[in-house]
Amino acid sequence: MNRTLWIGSVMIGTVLIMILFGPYLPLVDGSMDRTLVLRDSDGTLLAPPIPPSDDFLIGTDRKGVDLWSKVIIGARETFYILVVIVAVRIVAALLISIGAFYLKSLRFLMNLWNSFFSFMPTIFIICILLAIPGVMFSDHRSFWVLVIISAVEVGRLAMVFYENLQQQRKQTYMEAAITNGGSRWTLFKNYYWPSLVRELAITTPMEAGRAMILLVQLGVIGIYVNQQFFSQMDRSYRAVETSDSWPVLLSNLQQDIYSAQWIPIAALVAMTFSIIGFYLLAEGLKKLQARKVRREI
Amino acid sequence: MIKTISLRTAVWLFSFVILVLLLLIPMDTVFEEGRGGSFMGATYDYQIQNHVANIQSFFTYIYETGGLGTDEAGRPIMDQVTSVFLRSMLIFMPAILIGFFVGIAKGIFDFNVRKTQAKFIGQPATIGFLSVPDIAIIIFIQLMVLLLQSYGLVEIDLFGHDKIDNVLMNILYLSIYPVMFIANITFKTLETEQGLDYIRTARSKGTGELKILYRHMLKNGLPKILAYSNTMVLYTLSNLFIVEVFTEYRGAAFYMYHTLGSSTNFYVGALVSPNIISQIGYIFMFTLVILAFNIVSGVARSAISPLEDER
Repeated sequence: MNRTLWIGSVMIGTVLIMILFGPYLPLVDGSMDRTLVLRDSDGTLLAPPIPPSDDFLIGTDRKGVDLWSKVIIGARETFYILVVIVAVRIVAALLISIGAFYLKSLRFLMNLWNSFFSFMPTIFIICILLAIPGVMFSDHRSFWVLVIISAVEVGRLAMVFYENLQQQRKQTYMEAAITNGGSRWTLFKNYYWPSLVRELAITTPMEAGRAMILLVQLGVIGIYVNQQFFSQMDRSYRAVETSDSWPVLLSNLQQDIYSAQWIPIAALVAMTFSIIGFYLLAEGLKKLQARKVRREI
Repeated sequence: MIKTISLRTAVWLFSFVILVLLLLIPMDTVFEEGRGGSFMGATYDYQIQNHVANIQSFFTYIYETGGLGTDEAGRPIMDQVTSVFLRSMLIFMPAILIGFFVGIAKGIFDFNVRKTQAKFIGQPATIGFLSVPDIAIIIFIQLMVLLLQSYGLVEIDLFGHDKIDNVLMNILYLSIYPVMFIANITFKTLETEQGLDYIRTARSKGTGELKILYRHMLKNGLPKILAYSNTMVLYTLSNLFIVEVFTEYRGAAFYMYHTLGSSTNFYVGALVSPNIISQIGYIFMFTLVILAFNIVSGVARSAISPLEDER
């Protein structure tokens, strides 16, 4: 029995239920009303953030919104961002790797791209690219942030697919296929593509986990996908996150650690849960494939 | 070996030039102000001649000052960059070293206990630590420290850069990933080595288990472990960035974030004075560190299989 696959699927299934039926789940307040002040049983006034209590299962955030509802409803937006990042990465990496497999010039470009990124840590390069004014004040900033977050890892992923294709080429039965007169297209359709699909099944959840870790890291240093600039008192402007996605709950991390630990804990638990779910799913699928190959032999 | 080194240096130069070009992109942003100077929006148009002018003035600046020049207060920027950078290295280098030594030790431990009752604190624990985001572990540690503090058991300063507490805590945060990464690689290396013929020969000749492990398996596996050091260094530098920004440890990554920091706030009419010269200084230092580790891992990799040198 493949226990890893089961546990992983159950974890990701839980997240899926949150995404699909979020507002209808028990104890979820779909309207996300703000509680401004609350009187506790002794009659003292409580201002948000309100710690976990009978009214609020895991407390409220700094605006007084019930955190449990916020986390569950925020799942949809978080995963929307995640799906876009992973999809862009995979499609781009597939195109690049297949191109590099057949064309020498593209192979050179891919290696150059990879070497460039191997000299700059991911977070550095994201910060540098986001600070370019053309990106910062663009009307489609969210779009560019997504593109940048996806692009910095495309090279590495393309390399994974490329290695997979090379591995496939080395198989002895490929020689048979070639001597039998298989055209380039037939070879691709019948051998290379299926091998890529097997790789994809494992890589996709893996990438989702990685992208989520990146979102956590970016959340901690105050970079989010949806940002709007709002006026501060001193004529300065601060980017304010307007969405409900999980990384946003980390925006006040330094203060929350002292005064409202339940906010970052809720966000981190939700994100770590899905990351581990993705990794277990990938591990489980790897086991499943290994078992299948053994049976076929 | 010389080929490996020169190739990697060339790639480093290429990456550095691209990064400098990115940093020198002109900041010609036109702010649209509403009533009372409120922010309505900003338009940006990129003009190639401004970019070229920026690059030219940068090189004349470097040429004329013969270094990085001085800031408004007359202090040489070079000294600031190096002192701040050394502060970063003060937490980064120990973390990497701990990663290697403790990581290999943990890997050997994982390997030794893999078939005993204690295996759950071995390999599975390593994998677990690798998959949880570091920041979750860091926050867990901080919450623990705060809890202990509330009972008056410990007294640790969590934020800042000038106390020994900050340095030690940051080394702890930074070393989590390298330790687990190296432990995982060591474990995998030992696992593949153990079935090999020469091990069986050594065993049949009556060599002690410990001697086999250290003299043979580990010695042969070391290049493989070193070859992966590049990935680890890159990831740890990313972590350095987050740890410094989060704990307000004023090292190079912290200053880089805050001078680039226009990504989260700005003033109308003026982009936060982009301290481009020192940013380029930091980038130079960081990429140099990466180059050093890159060469180490490249040499180690070509020691494993000389044919793979081309990549």
